[in-house]
Amino acid sequence: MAEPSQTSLPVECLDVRTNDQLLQAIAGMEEAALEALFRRFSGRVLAYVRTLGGWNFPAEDAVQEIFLTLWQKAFLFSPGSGSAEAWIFTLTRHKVFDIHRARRSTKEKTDLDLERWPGPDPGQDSAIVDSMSLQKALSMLPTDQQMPIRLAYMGGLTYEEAAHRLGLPLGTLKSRVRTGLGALRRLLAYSKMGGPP
Amino acid sequence: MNPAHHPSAERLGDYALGRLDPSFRLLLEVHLALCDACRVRFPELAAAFEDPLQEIPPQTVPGSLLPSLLAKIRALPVPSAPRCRNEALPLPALVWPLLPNLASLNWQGALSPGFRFLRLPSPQSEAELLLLHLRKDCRFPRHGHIGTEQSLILCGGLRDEYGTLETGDYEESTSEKIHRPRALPDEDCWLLSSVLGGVRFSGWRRWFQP
Repeated sequence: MAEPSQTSLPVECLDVRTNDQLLQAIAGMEEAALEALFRRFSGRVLAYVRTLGGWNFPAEDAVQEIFLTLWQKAFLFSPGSGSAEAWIFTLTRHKVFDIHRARRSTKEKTDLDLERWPGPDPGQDSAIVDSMSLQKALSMLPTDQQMPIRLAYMGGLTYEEAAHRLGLPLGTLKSRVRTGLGALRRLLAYSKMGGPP
Repeated sequence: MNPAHHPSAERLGDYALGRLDPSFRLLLEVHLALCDACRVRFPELAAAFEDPLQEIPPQTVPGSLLPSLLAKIRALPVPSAPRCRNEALPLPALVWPLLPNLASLNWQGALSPGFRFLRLPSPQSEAELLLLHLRKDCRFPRHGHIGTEQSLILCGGLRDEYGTLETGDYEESTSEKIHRPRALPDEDCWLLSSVLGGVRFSGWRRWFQP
């Protein structure tokens, strides 16, 4: 477990390379590039993990493991062909998914607590605000989109498991997750502009 | 490298969304390591997926996290050719960092002369992950699939009633497919296979089924 003391990382990043260039340098085992990318993204990755993982999730450990994985798999990214940011968040989703499944398999969490998820993390003011907005936005989605998102996107179930649980064909489940995420994005954007949720 | 058989855009999308079973994910990553074309098309697919949660404002990261991460990275072993017991396996160097530790595993296989397999650790996976080895020209028994099987050729190749698979090729088989693969005649075939639901043999070999 990481130490609880909070020390801010410098906001400025002296490395002027693009994210793509940094990922390419990491694939060549350049530690300075990893350090630069960590400074750029770790705060966002931590917020994302806390939001996606919900209450009592080992978020700081997860962030460390995500960047460790990034170090080992950076060679899979093809610079210039897409967004390094999207790649980093893909690795992040994999890690959150794995931790969810590991916790379920060890009976730490025997089932998804759909009423509590995603719970705000005490002491993280911005997380509380954002989790509340997210919770509200989620609750505004039609039920047929809400449950697929809660189970298959945020709950650590595979698409197949979630489809089985909800008694839906696999294609329908996937379609509802994608439609629901689009609706969630619009609701959150509206909320940022001052509207509900 | 330019394999001829690729995962579907839907599978790559599932990967981007983080919803693939971990053993399927491993096969897809091995394919990405071996396939220039998919390494180029994957980031485009990942970027097309708009995740609303990525926009949440950053939070303060503990100062101890970065030094601890760098210490862990420096302690990582240099990737080397995977070994099983005392045997070095002739697998492409590109995939070495992706494979689990095989050192203490035991070979199994009584179905066909020249065929053996390792059951690989794949925590949190619903599917069974296998490393298969067929000596050149070895024929694998005719079989079907109860659920889904994904296969990735690490080196060498296979031929069956449906065509030929060679290094880097990725294939997904469903329950409709019944086939009798055979290693190509000039080279041993090594492949990863992730099986969800099991395999159905015909004849006396059905007694080996769980």
